[in-house]
Amino acid sequence: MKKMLLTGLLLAGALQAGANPALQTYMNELAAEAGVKGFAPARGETIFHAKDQGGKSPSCTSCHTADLRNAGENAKTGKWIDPLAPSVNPKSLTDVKNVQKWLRRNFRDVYGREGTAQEKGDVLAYILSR
Amino acid sequence: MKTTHFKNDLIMTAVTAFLAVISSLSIATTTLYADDDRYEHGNRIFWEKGRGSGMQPMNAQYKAECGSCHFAYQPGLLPKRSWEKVMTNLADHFGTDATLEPADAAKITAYLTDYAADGGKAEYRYYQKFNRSIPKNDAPMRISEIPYFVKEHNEIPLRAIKQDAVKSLAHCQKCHATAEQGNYGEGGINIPGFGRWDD
Repeated sequence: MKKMLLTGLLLAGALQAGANPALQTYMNELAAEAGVKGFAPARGETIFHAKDQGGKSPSCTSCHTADLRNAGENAKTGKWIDPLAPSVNPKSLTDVKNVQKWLRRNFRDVYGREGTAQEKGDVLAYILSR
Repeated sequence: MKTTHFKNDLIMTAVTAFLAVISSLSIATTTLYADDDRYEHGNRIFWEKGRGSGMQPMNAQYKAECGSCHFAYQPGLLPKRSWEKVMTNLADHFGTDATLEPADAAKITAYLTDYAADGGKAEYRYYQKFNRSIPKNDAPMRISEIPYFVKEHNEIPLRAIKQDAVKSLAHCQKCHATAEQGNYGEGGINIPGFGRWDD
C-alpha cells in the first residue's frame, strides 16, 4: 500500500515535468517545505472545487469555472480571466512571481488563510495536469 | 529689490485688470450655460481648452496589476489620501485580497499619488470637480461615492446600471466609450440598451 502511494506521488512528480524550470524549482521548494516527494493532482482538484471554506469568495470555481480549460470571469468585476489549463493556455503558470501572488491572494479569498506548501503544490499539480 | 517689488506690483495690476475683463466676459457664458455641464453642452473646442483632458500617463505596472481585475481608473479620479488608503488596505480590497509584493505596491502607490487629483505632478483640471466635492476630512475609496460622481449619475435609472451588460457603476468603460482615454464627456456615453445620454 505504501509502495502504491509512493508510486502515485512519483507519477504526480512526473506530470510536473510540464512545468518550466522556474516553476519546477518553485514546486521543489514547496515539496521540501512540505516534506513530500511530489504532489497529487487529485488533492489539488478537491481543494480547487471545494465550496464555502471560510473565505469571502465561495470557491476557486466562482471565477475560474469548474473546467480549467474554460476562460473565467472575475465574479465581481466581470473581467475576463484566461484559462488556467496549460493545455489550452501555454502562458499559464509560466511566471513564478505571478503564480505566487495569485496563490496567496486566492487562498485568502476562498479559504480565508494562506495555503500550506502542500496545498499550493497540489493545486499547481492539478492545474498542470489539465 | 524695491524696483523688483514695484515691477511685480505693476504686473499684478495688469493681471487683475485682465482677469476683470475675462470674468465680465464669462458672465455671458455662465448665463448661456448655467448648469454644471456648461462646457460640455457648449462649443467643443472651448470645452477641451477650458476643462482640459482627463488623459493621464498610464503606468504599465498599474495597468498590469490593477487593470487585470478591473478598469484602470485614472489616478486623478481620487485625491492622494484616498489612494494611500486604498493601497494600504489591499488585503481587503472591496472584499478581495489584492496584495502585492511590498516593492511593487510602493511603485504603484508612487504613481497613483503623483498623478492624484491633488498630486502636484501635473494639474488635471478635468478632475477637480471630483476633488472639490470631497469633504476635506473624508478619504473615499470608492470613486462612485464621491459627491460629484453621485450627482452626475443620479438620474440614470437603476435598471440601466444593474443590467448584465453593465452590472455596476464601477465599470466606467461599459457606458463611457472613451473612459480609457480619460474622457468621460457626454459625447462618449452609450449605455447598453439605452443609447446616448444627455441630461
